[in-house]
Amino acid sequence: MDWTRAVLIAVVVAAAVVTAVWYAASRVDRMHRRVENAWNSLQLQLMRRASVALDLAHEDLWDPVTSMVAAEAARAALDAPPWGSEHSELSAVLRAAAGDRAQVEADLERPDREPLLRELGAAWYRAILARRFLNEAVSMTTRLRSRHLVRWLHLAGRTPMPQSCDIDDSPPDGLI
Amino acid sequence: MRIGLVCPYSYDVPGGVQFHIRDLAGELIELGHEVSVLAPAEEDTPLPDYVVAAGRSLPIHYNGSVARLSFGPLSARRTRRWLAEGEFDLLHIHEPIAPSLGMLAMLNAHGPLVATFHSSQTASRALRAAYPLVRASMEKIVGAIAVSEDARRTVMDHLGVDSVIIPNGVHVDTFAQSDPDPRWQSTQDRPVVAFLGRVDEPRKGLKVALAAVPTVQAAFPGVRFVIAGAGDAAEELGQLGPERSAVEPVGPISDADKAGLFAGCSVYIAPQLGGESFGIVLVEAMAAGAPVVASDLPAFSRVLDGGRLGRLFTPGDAGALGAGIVGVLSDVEDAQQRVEAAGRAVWRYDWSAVTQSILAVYDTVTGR
Repeated sequence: MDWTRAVLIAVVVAAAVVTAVWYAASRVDRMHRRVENAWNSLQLQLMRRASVALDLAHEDLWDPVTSMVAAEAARAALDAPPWGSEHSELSAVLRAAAGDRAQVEADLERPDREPLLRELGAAWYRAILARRFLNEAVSMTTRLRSRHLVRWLHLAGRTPMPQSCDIDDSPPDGLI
Repeated sequence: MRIGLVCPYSYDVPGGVQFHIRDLAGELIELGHEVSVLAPAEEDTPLPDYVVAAGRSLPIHYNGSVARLSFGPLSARRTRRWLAEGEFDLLHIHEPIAPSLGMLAMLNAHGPLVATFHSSQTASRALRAAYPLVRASMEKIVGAIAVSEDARRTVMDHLGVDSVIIPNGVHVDTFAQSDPDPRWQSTQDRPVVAFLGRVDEPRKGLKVALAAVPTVQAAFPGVRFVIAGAGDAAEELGQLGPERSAVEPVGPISDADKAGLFAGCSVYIAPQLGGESFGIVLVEAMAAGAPVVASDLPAFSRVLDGGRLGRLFTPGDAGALGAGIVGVLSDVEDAQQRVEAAGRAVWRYDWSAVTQSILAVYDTVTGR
């Protein structure tokens, strides 16, 4: 056996392995950053939705009881983390407050109600998108981290396995 | 926002994806965003000033049809330079899995991406070959958009990527303001029923439309069935009896003619048998003020709000279609009410609304 040749082959193989590992590690790293950004984006959009909901509750749009419940739910959501059940509760309260499709469509025709309701619809839609994009990132990351190379070499480091967000964000009929 | 849009297909030849990008770019610029479009185009093709030509394209068999794609070292270099010089806040790639500029941009991009999937064709062999490389870079797509449920399912099945559905936009204004075309204008004695779609594709339902003619003639002897659309219908037309005189095939028509047809006709019929994912033509007819009678397919029923904005009939049932047409022609007041409601409802499919949805994706992706 020619020693130089053996060394050369070993070096080439080692370089290939290092490249593959580096590549996989950078993919995992990129997905972790993507998941983190997605959580931040969801947090931002949920806060926006809650703050529009609070504005709505302070307008003379609903009856006093509905407004009170909605304001309370909105305040709770403003203090909650993006995975908190407070957001699901706010969704349920706002669906009840907004009424059925006919009611929402009638309200959207009224100049005094339309602007804030449109704003709520826009914020709500962004929250839905943010959660969809987050969950997509989470499932991609989970798939990537289940690969042998990633598991055996602990390429994910100490970063915990990302969790999907399962809050209820179905909007009132006709709002979006 | 500085937005970079990447078009995979040549601007030299018009097509659905190119129109989509042109319309989206126009709307974004109107809203005050800075937009640059990278597209394959010949040096001498006249282009809007926001389009950057990435060089010539070659007609290649791809995904069951011939597409003009751009690839090779020159395209790759120009794509990299465009990305580096653009300093975009957001990059929006169209059809990223077509082997053209979209894929090049995706492979070379650094920041977060938005990608729109247009095709509902199955993925090509070429894609499967390039799959490992492409899959890794698909992880850069933070916001995936599909233009229809079919496109979404295709991307899900072949690439395992979920996407949100934002359909193509319609220029509601253009249709709402179009004047009736005198050639196909309804009169008191001669109401016009309009059909639009490839005449030699059975699922477009020409057979059903033709079978409904006698029913309508019995009530309105002067009725004219204007049949617009590409293809050879000689066989279907040859089988007709005396009702042949009421049927006027006009061949494929331009967008302007289509708007004129819708504006002047008494009824637009959509007797498709299935395979429709959205029904953009229904929206165009509704925008132009044409009463609609359509097959009760899920996509059509959604657009017509379960029948509130137009009449629905059992797919394939020519008798029911005939009755629906007679209903529209005889109960003018009812038809008028639906047309008015439809004219309001179609605004949600307008490009302005579609652009707002796409901007919502941009905001979510950039964390604004």
